[in-house]
Amino acid sequence: MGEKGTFRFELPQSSLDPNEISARESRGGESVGVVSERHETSSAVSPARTYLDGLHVLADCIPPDGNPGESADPKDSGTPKLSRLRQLFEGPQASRQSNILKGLLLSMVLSMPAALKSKDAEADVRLSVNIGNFSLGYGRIPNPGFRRYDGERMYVLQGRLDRQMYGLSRKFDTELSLILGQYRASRAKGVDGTECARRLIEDVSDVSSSCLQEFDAICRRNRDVPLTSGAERFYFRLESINRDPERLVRSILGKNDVSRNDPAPNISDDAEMREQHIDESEKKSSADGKSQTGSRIDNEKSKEPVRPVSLENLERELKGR
Amino acid sequence: MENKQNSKEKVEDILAASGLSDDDRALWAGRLSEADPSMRGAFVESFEDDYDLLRFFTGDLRRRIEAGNDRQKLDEVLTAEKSFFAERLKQSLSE
Repeated sequence: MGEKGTFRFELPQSSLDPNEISARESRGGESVGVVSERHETSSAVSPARTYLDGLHVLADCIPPDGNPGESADPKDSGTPKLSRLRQLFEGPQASRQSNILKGLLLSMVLSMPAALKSKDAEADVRLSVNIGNFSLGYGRIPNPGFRRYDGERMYVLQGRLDRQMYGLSRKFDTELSLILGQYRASRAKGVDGTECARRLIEDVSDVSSSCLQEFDAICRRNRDVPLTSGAERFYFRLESINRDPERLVRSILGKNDVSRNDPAPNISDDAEMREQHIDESEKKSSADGKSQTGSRIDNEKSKEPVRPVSLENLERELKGR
Repeated sequence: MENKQNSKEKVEDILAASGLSDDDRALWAGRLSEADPSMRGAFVESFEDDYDLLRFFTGDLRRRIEAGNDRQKLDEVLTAEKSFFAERLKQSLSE
C-alpha cells in the first residue's frame, strides 16, 4: 500500500469549459503531482471526467435567474456556476441538496471498476469534493489513465476558485500576467535569467502586497467572509511571497535550500509558490476567452512574440547555466 | 469498529425497507462492501430518509456500470441525472 495522500478535484471554472478538468494530488501536506486531462484528447472516460460531469450536471440545474426547474443555458453569463453551487449547498435546502450530490457521487464512484480494486492499488489517494461547506471524500482511487501534468493548469483552476469565492478582483491576474509576459519577453531577447528573475520578484512582490490589502479590505467590509482553509491558503501564499520574495528567486533558480521555518501556515513548498505564479498569469488569458495552451501567455504589453516557456522549463534552463 | 458495524447495519436496514428488488439490493451491498467504508456512511446519509432518491440512484448506478467508458451512453446518463435533479430542485424550492 502506498503512502496516504489526498486527491482533490476542483470545478473547472465559472463558465462552462467541458474540456478541462484537473485534480491535484498531495501527500503529507506536500503537493506531489497534478493530474489533468483535456477531454478532447482522450476517448477514455476517467473517474475525474465522470466526477466533474456530475458537478456540472448539478450546477446546470440551477438557472442563473433563480427560477428552479427551468433549463439553464450552459454558456450563460449569469451567476457563475460555482456561486450557484454554493447557493445550493449553503441555502435552506442544503441538506437535501447535499444528499443528491452524495447520491450522485456514490453512483459515480461505485460504478468505477478501478475503485473496486483499490485495496490492491499502490497509491492510496483520496478523492474529495469541496464546495462551500459541503465535502465528501472517497479513498483509494488508483487513478489509472491519468497523465501527469506540470501543474500549471491546476493552479489556474485553483486561482479562479479562490477569486470567485472570496471576491478578489482581477487586478492581481492582470498585473501578474503582464509581469510574466515581460519576463518571458526579456528571456526571449536573451536577457540574463538571474536578472530576469530578480525583476520578476520585485514586481510580483508589489502585486501581491496590493492584493493582500484588497483581501484585508474585503474581510473588513464583510465580516462573514468565510475564512476557510482555501482562503487562508490563498492569503498566506500571497503573504509568503511578500515576506520572502527571495524564496521565489531561489525556487526559480532551483536552489532548494529554503528554510522550512517560515511561520506562515499552509505553505507546503516552493513549487506551490512557483505554480501559483504560473496560475495567476494563466488566469488572465482564460479570463479574456483565449484558448488555454498550458504554458503560453500572450504578452499584451509588448506585443512581441513570446516563446511558450513555462517556469518549470525556465528553471531547468537556469539550472543548466 | 462499532461505527462501521452500525453503518453496515443501517445500510442493510435501508435496503430492506426500500422496496428495491433482490438484484438491486445485492448490487448496492456488493459494491459498498468492496468500496471504502466511508461510502456506507454517505449511503446512509443520502438515502435513509429518501427512498425515491435511492431508487433513482439505483437505476443510475446500473446505467453507469453498463455505460462503462462509452461516451455516448454516459451522456445519456448525465441527461437523465440532470432532468431528475432539475425536477427535485423545483419541488424542494416550491415547498
